[in-house]
Formats: sequence, C-alpha cells, structure tokens
Amino acid sequence: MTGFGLGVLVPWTLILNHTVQSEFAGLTWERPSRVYARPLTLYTGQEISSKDLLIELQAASYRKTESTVAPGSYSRSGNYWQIYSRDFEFADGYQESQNWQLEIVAGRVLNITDLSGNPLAIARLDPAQIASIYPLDKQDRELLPLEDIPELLVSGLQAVEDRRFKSHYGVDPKAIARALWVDIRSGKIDQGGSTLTQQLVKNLFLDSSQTILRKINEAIMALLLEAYFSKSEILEAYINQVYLGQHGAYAIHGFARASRFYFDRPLDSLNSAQIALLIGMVKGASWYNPRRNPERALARRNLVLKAFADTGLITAQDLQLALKQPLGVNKQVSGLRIAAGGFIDLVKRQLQERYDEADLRREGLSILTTLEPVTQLVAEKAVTAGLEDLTARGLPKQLQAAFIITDVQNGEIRALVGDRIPGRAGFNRALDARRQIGSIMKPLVYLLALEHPQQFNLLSQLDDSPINLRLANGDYWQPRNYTNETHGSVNLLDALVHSWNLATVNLGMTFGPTHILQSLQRYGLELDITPVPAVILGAVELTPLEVAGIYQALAAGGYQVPLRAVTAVIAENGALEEAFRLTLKPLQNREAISIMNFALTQVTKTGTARALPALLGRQANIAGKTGTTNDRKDSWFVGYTDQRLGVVWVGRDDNQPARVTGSSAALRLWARAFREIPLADWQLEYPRGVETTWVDRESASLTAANCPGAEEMPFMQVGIPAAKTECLRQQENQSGKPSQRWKWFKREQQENRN
Amino acid sequence: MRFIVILLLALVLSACAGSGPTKPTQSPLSQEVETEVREAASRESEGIQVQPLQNPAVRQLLASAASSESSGQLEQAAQMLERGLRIEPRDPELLQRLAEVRLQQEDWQQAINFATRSYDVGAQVGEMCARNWRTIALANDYIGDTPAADAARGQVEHCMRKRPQKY
Repeated sequence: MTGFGLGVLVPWTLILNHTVQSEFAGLTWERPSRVYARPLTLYTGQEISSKDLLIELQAASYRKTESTVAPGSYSRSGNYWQIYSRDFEFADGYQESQNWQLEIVAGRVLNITDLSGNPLAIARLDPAQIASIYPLDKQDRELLPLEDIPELLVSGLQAVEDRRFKSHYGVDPKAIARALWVDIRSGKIDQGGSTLTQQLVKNLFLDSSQTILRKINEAIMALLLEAYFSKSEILEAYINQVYLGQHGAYAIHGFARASRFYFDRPLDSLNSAQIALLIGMVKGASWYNPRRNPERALARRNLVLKAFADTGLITAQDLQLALKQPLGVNKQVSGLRIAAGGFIDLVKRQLQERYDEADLRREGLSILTTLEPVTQLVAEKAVTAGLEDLTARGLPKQLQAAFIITDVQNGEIRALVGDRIPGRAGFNRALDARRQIGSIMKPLVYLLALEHPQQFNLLSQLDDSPINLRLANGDYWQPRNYTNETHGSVNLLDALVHSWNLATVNLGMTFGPTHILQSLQRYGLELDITPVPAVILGAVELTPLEVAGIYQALAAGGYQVPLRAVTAVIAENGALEEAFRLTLKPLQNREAISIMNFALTQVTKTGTARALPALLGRQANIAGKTGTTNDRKDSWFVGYTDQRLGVVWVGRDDNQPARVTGSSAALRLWARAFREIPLADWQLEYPRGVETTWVDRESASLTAANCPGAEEMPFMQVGIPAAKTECLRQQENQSGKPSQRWKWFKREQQENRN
Repeated sequence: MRFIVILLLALVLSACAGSGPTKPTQSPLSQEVETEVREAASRESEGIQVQPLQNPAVRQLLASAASSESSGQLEQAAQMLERGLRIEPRDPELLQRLAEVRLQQEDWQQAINFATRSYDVGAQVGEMCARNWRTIALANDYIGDTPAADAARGQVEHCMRKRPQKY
C-alpha cells in the first residue's frame, strides 16, 4: 500500500512540480490599456458654458454630491462649482488629486481657487476614459510591486487570512486541523483553513471544486511554491491576483485596481477603514460587495478592523475612529457614453508603428488622446440627427456620413464619426471611404494662381465659357457649370466663391493637371493618379481624413500640422513611454494661403455656402468650401476658422447617386454641430508682403473706402491692381496727392526692396 | 482668449542679462542654447522686449517648463509648453521656448520651424526676434547648412534696427 502510494505520489508530485516551477516563474499578468480623452483644462477667463462643463464631468464619470469629500465628485451651487479631481499620471508628470472651487459666469471661468481660497492660475481635471483594450481573459487589473503596497494592507491581509504566513511552509497544519474539526462536526466541507499560498495556488492553477483530490493537489503545490519562491514573491502575486469584484463583463483583480474601482483613489491613499473593507472582500467579493450589500460589507469590514487592533496593527483609538467611518465607496456612475469607436480606430492606427494589438492588451498602458468629449458628442448628434433630417427631406435612407473636427493650431483631432450610427464597429468612413472630392479641390487650383502674384490676384479676369478639351485618348471632355450656365469674363474671386467649373478649368489648364497634383504633396499627400484634366474639378479620390489634413494647413495659415489622435503613451509605472510630439512645417505659400482664407470666408457669405449664417443662427467669419461630385454622389463641406476645422462627407456606400449637393447635405450637418461649438471671432491676419486695400470688384481697380461699391480685400504687395476708379482719382486730385494710406504703403514697398 | 491678445509694449531697460551660473545638469547643447541664444539675444537687444500681456495660466506653464528644462527634463518641459500652446497657440514666447527645447533635443528641423512660427506671430523686433533667428542659425549650424545659418545671423541685426510700432 505504501509502495503504491509512493509510486503514484512521486510522479504526480513531479508533474505538479513542473507546473509550479515553470508557470509561476513565467507568470505574466496581462493588464488592459486604457484610452483617455484630452483632459479638461480650466483657467481664469476661459470660455466654457456650465452645460459643457457638466458634460465633461459626466464623461469623466464624476459623481454629483452635496459636498465633495471624495475624488471623482463635484457639487454645484448656482455659479459655484466644487470639483474634486482624481490623481492621474499625465505626460508631464503625476498630478495629485485636488479639490477646486470655481465660478462660472456668462460662459466664462471667473476664478479658480483651492479650498483655502487661494487663487489658482490653472486647473486640470483627470481625463475621461473613453475605451479600454482588455486582455482576452477579461481580467482587469493594475500591477503594483510589493514595496509600493501599503504596510497595513500587507500585514492586515496576513492578520485576517493567514496569521502564520511568515512561519509556515505553504500549509498550516494547525489551521487545517481546526477547519477539519468544524467540517466533521457540520458534515460539510466548507471551512477554509487555507494559507495565502494555498489560496494563490488555487486561484492560479486549480479549479474551485471542493474535492479531496483538489485539496491534496493544492497542498502539494503550496509546499512546492514555498520551496522555490520567497514569501515576498508569493505575497506580491497574491495581492495582484486576488479577485475583488466584477465590472460588467470584466473581473476586477488585485488590490490596486479594486482601490480605483471602489474608491477612485490610488491604493497608497486609502485609510485603515478602506483597506479593511477590501481585505474583508477577499472572503467573498460578491457576498461582501459594498455597493450591493453595504450592511454585510460594513459588518465584515468592522470585523477586519478588530483583527487589525487585536494584532497591534492599529491602536484602540484608531479602531474607534475607523469603526465610525462610513464605507466611503463611490457610487458607480456609468458616465456619459461616448461612441468613440471610430476615433479609437485611428488611435490604434497611430499606435500601430510602435505597439501591436497584443501589447495593448497586456501592458497596462495609458494612452492619452486628443478627443474632446463635448465636441465628440456634438459631432455624433449632428450626424445622427442630421441624416434623419435629410431623409425626412426626401433624401435616400442609405445615406452615410463622416465627420472630423480638429483643433487648427495643433492638429489635434477633437471628434471623429465614421458611421451614421456613431461608434458602430465596421467600415470607418472618416478614415477609409475614398471618394471623389469635387469642388473641394478648387481652392488648391486657385492657390497655385495666387502664388503667381504678377499674373493673378483676386480680381484677375477668368474665362467662364464653354470648353471642349481633346484628351490624350482622343476623347473630348466638355465640363459644364452646375447650373449649365456660362458667365463669360468673371473675376477670380467670384469664380471661386460661386464654384464655377468652366472658369476653374480654364485657370487650371494654365498650370496643368500634373502640376496641380504635385502641389498636393505640400500637404503630405502622395497620389498615384493619372493627371487628366478632370483632376482640376476634383476627380481625385480622398478620404475625409486626408481632406482634413489638406485644409488644416490652410486654416493654420500655411503651417502643415500633422493630424494627431494620440499625444502620449504612459507606462504602468507612470513613466512617459512615448510622446507624440506637436510638429509643424511652414509652407512656402503662406502669403497666398492668407489670401485664399479671405476668399473662402466669402463662400459662406455670398457663395455656395451662403446658407450657413442662417443655419448657424449667427454671422461669423468662417471659411468654407462645398463640394458636389458627378451625379450628386458625394456631398462635402469643409469649414474652418483659425480655431476649429470641420470636414463632413455625405454619400452612399455603394457610390450610387445620392441626390446630394455640398450645400444641401454636408453643410447642414456641419452647421448642426458648429451651432453648439463656441468659436471666437476670427480676425484674419496677413503675413508681411500681403496688404488689404480698398478695391472696386467690377472694374478690378483701386478705390477709396468711401467710394461706391468699395470692398476691402487682400493682395500681395507686388500684385496690387494698378488701375484706379474715377472716384479715387477725383479724391486724389482734390487733395493734390495720393491718399495717406497709399503713400505709406509705397514707402513700405520701397523698404522691402532695399 | 481675446483679452490676452492685447499687446502691452514694454521697453524694459534692465540689467538682468546674465542668468547666473549654469547648472551642472545641463548638457553642452543646453548651455549653448543658454549662451548663444538667450543670453546673446538679451545682450544685443539691450533689453528691448516686446512682451504681450500673458494669460496667467500660460505664465505658470512657462515657469514650470523652465524649471523642468533647467533640471534636464526636456520632454517634460516640451509637454508643458504644448499645454500652453493649447491655451495660447500664437504666443511667441511659448513657440520660441519649444524651439529651444527641440534644439536641445537635437530635433533641428522642428527647432527651426517653431522659431519661424514664433517670428511670424511675434513683434519681429527686439529680444524675441533675436532669439528666433539665433535659434534658426544654431540649428542650421548643426544641420550643416552654413548659408542658411549665415542668413539667419544676418537677420538678427534687423531685429535691432527697427523700433517697435505702437498698436
């Protein structure tokens, strides 16, 4: 019998030995990566409505309370807000949890103070978490090395679960004997008696069945584990492994994650009552769930606190204080749902060069992004409600849309929607729909003209008359204007503002399609397209993101700023792993771009997008361009100021006629969103070498401000019209000299030539 | 945002050109930025500064960035300057500081680009102007583009010839 026993036990132990040695030594904890929106920064004078602040707080899962006593909460009384932020590892360092008071009056931050009333220049909230990239086993955890775990937790855990942990060899015969005695008396196997080591072994390697065989395996493996690994290695593994709750489909493992999950605080900031609560939950995370079963959890916590006092971990006085503490568990708020799926696609692509999907699922990274919750929600709503509205107006139900909103000066993407149902996984039109851009191309053709100020200015005459072009393949190309009319001799500004095709083709052919396509390279686009004349009218397929990239450079006044979705990746230990830096590149045609920006503001005032002010409900200096493609398959609108750029595409996935035009569909979605987005008044600025002057559009002549039909518009200094109106000449004759302004301008020109 | 765009023209004739002993943590390149760009520009401009009235939030971020920079934490400094630029994207000081940090990080091209942007949006006169062109010159030295470096040094003189205009 003994022989048989040994014959089985020895090889069996060897098998278990292998499992323990190889698996425990090679144990890697997979931790999800978390994706965060851009943090909300508040400063005195900042424009933000109470409504938007509330949305930001909800998106970041802040709880509304009567008085802010815990991180992740806020209270409000009229114009006064109190916000208690959570601690956070930012790219520029760790920021502790802070309690601020602020006053918002008439959509502006009037002041920010700390709780003692000291004024603060700036406050930054911890950002909204917009996605998690979980390990495939759906375990949610944060890892902490033993030295970073509070002493009370380490000792307290032993005091409650395994008092002889330091001295036993993995199993505790005394505890087993006691448990066995209870089990025999009750006739059931349910009494613990397991050491921390046994519990760890069970959690890691065994199922949870209550059989004798499992118990034997557990005991052998615990002994083996203790033989090969130190007490501190075992304890560290235990603390990071133990199951402490459930968050939807995801299991909360380890004390570090549990601390965030229940208290919104880092583990090292917990008080003794909070630590006791978590330790108490080891016995049954569901049974003692403080949110669902607060009374049971409280009784258990108090029992744990008494064990702390019994073992001398806390004083009797501390015990009395701790017993009086409320549970202090945060109320779980689901937060505002942001359908950021489309944006996350882009985040993953921008991370792709440095991280593969598997890294994101296991390394516990914090991915800091540029998404602005309030703007994303506005864009989502504009797409869903906007498309419904278009359908109600008789447009096809199959319409799809993409919407991108960026911060002009730094290229940060604030919102991205790639489907009419925002957040739906699948085809992301903002990133992947390659569609003809139509008249969205025209400003790039006109820019080439403005770069030749000796030949072209805004009032140069173009020919808007029928064209019959013989193509390389022998066919003839006969483009038409949208309305089928022709306008004869027109000025360049009108041709652009009204998007006349014939004038544009005539202008474009002076440069040629090859040259026009090459000019796109300046905006970071390398296209392999046959340079046919139709390119001039936008027979070029681009994605909405690429279109945004081109117009970004225009909106930023001639600085190419790559569009970014990610700003930084922070490692689990708080170190900055990767900064996705702001970069910019000055373009050589900044003067021409500044003039183009003026011309495009006229599009939304008198041109193809003149419906915009009514749709927006306000007058504003906004540059815009509509685009419609053949058979009305695609509707584009690009609109911007020097602060925000928005690109909208509307069409059908099957590329069938959609009965849309730039102004009938995309413009409406754009306006719907920007009605909600505050934009400061855009004062167009012109670089050196560009001057605004009073002109008469009809005669393309200089005029005086008080002459009839006088308009102020920009010109390159070398390309100012030479002709003068009769009205201007008369005024000059009366005063006997050219106007003051003109004289000053001449002097400037002289200086520049020197 | 508008209220901070109000330009306050200040002719500050101060004698605080030197900035004390260089800290031991600074790399040779950082020291070069300190002496060849900042100190030289301050000396040349004889204290002529055109300072916009800065948003206190931006001022605080600039101060934090300066302290990170002097302790050799260049990326941290850059991150703070980027934060400042989110608030005030056209602040010449923020842009120039970022140019100087990129220079210390050996990102020559971005140093040139940010200094160019700072010049474009700045008053184009006085100390800031000199820092802009000195940064462009130094970065071009490292790239090995001597003609561009010389041209930039030539521009430094123009910074001093003109007096700031009143707005």
